[in-house]
Amino acid sequence: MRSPRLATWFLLALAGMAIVETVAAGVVYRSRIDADDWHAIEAALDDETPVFVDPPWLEPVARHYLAAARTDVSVGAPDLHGQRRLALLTPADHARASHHMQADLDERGPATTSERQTFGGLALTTLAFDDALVELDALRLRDDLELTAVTSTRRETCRRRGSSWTCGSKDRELVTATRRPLEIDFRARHCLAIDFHRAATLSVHVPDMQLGERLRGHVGVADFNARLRSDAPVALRVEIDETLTLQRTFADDEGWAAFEIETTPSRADVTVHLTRPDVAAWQRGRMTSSDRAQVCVELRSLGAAR
Amino acid sequence: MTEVDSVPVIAASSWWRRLCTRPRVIAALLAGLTCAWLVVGHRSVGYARDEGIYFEASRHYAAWLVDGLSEPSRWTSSKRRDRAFRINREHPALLKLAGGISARLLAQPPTAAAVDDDDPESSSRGGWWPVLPEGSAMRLPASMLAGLGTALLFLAGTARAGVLGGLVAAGCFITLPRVWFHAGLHCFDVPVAVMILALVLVYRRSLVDPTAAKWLGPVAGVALATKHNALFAVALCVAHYYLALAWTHWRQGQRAHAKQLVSLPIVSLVVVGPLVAFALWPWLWSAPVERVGEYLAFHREHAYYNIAYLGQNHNRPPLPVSYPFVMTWATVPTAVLLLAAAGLFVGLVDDWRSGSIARVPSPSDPAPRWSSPLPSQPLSGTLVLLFAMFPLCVIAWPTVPIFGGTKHFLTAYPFFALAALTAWQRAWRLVPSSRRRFAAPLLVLVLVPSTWATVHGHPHNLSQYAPLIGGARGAADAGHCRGFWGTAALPLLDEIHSTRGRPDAMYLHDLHALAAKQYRREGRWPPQLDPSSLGRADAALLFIEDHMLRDELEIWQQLGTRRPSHMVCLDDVPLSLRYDR
Repeated sequence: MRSPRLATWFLLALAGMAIVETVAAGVVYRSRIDADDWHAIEAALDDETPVFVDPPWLEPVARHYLAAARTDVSVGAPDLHGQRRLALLTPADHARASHHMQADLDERGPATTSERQTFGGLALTTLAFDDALVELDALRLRDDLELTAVTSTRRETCRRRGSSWTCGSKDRELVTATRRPLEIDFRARHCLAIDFHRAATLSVHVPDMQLGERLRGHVGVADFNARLRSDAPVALRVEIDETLTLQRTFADDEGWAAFEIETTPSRADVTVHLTRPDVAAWQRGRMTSSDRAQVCVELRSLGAAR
Repeated sequence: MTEVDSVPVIAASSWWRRLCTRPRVIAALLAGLTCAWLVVGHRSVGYARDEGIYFEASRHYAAWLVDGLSEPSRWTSSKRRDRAFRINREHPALLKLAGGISARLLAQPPTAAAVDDDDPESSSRGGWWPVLPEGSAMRLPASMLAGLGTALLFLAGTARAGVLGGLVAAGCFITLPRVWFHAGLHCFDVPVAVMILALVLVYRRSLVDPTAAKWLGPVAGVALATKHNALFAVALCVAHYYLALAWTHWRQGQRAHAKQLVSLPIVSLVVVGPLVAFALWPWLWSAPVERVGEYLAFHREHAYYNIAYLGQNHNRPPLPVSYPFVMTWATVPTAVLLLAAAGLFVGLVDDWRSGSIARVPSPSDPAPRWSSPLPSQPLSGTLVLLFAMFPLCVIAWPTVPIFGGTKHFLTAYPFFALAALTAWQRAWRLVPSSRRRFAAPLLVLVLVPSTWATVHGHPHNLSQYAPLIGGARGAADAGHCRGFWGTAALPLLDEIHSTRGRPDAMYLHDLHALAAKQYRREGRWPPQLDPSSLGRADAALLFIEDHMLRDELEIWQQLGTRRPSHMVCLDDVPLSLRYDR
């Protein structure tokens, strides 16, 4: 820097940048949401419309204030399919959805109508999908699931207790399954969380399931990214009235992987078979069988509203 | 307005004029103010995971030292020495020993409930002058070093550009939110940054000054005894020395003298420094080669911890090359970076220009001496550039673990401050004198964003981000690390103190048991509350990070609730939560 003019311009640029940052500091270094905003949102919500909170950092605060933000659908929805209406809760100054939410919305398809209301520092956008398929039936809704675990030498009918099933005797457990949210690819997903204690196949029988135009589901392996490891894949088979309709293998690094089967509206017995050929986990440099990763599966039937 | 070296200095009154002629007094005041403010202000900053371990180590190290005062043979007992210094042997002992000594001098006695009769190092006694809580007393040495860093930068700035230059240099370092946060902890990141700054300043002086060359060894030793980053600093100084030697002789067309090739500065750096560091780390005394090897191996093979960056969790190579650069921009106001970048450029151009003018040596030039090997301090701009960019380039290497936010390249920031000073000085020297009255207002304007960020973010500056990324909110939207280390816990603990129907057993999540022990020793832990496994807990803490989501879901499952009862937030962004059954 040798020129007085250049020096002057540099100092002016510096002053300009400092002014911009000072103004920005005045905007960003403050809380923009208060308790009254949350109470107003709560009053505006209805019981029928599920709430999705975006961006993810807002979720814990939403769960603190809103019962609607604590439901299975709100905290662990597999995707946005099957919802005719949904409410998107965001900070009022967020013009765009987060990367994850936008991907979910893009996959869902465009909304028919969209209505946005602002409550102080928060905004509620109600999206309607008038021509959408709705959820007719789902694994998570059924209390009459029948679970069976099979190995090459044993077959165990699983005993239910509350929202959990245990397959095998106390000291020889094969599989345990629980309806709960699991972390898949850093997102909570409500599913049937299956813990394979040994290599086995778990069959989940859904008697008399209401089918629509599609059966849609997901499979994921929990907690993949928290550790440096490689797990055995998961093999999935879906039978409708004992006819094999889908067969697929899922690797542990596929995240929350979707599958779909076209169906015709009817009632049918649906059985999902999940096979884990090995329960060992390959950590960095060694294999361990004590650190098992759970398999997360969900299944819904989607069809026209009746 | 008066001028010093063609750079403006405000002289509004006679006392200020007198003070401006005493930069060392101002430096001392700044150092004292920085230290005091850190000690007092950081009472509201929770204890980090690593601090819990360092507190424990400090007690053991100080016990060894104090026991030896009454019976010196204990110092030579390798068994006693190794038992004390085995704790946390992956880091040098100096700061931990200093913390332990500070506690022995100034700490209030621990609460009766926290004293462990089976652990003699636990010490039920207070210090000789018990004026500080134990954690604050142990944090004091690091705070003092932060004050020293402020003073050194101020003095370096004043020498070149008057009081305003000094304030630029000091302010562009100490007002940064992440620097301020780390400066007050009983950890090594800001201390090693300051020691490396001191090392470089003394090294630069040692090229022409024998006294500085003699002090270079001890300074290097203290830096090496602070944290392993100093190993790189010593290597960089050596590299710079030979580069400067080659540069000097390229200009003068002479070969280097033998006494310049292995001069006193080099001997100080390479021989005296390591010896001093060895003397300051008793763990090494019993088996130096083996234990130095273990120390180096630990850091060379460090585990890859999880860190969120741009919406992705990273825990294995290849790691993003952009990480240190983007995180520096995200946490340091752009005005400061603009000044620093300009200063680095100006420094390099000055070095090049000084070399492009070939100089014919004169018979009256002083002969190079072993104790002051160079006739001048060449390549000063290159020196600052090396130390400003090297830490970022190391972390940018795809196989080098990234975690800890910005703490692992904080050692670059004092040199950003020196570079900012260079740009400041040059710009104001060139600007017409009629405009120099704007220097002080511009200084204030440049430092406002970082100061505002730091004041507003306190005590959660580990989660604070610069204005242009949008502060904590913008960083959360961008998917950056919310925090780590379990520091955002105090408000949650304080709330338990004051609530009826308090939990009796709590799952601590990422709050280290030794940090909880420290809270207990100081009476800051709810008396009825016991740390517990999640299965038996009435309540649970959760420190929010992407890879901790599975822990949160486990908490929901065990406690039967998805509603956090209490939250610690920064600008609406939750940092830590408490769940109650």
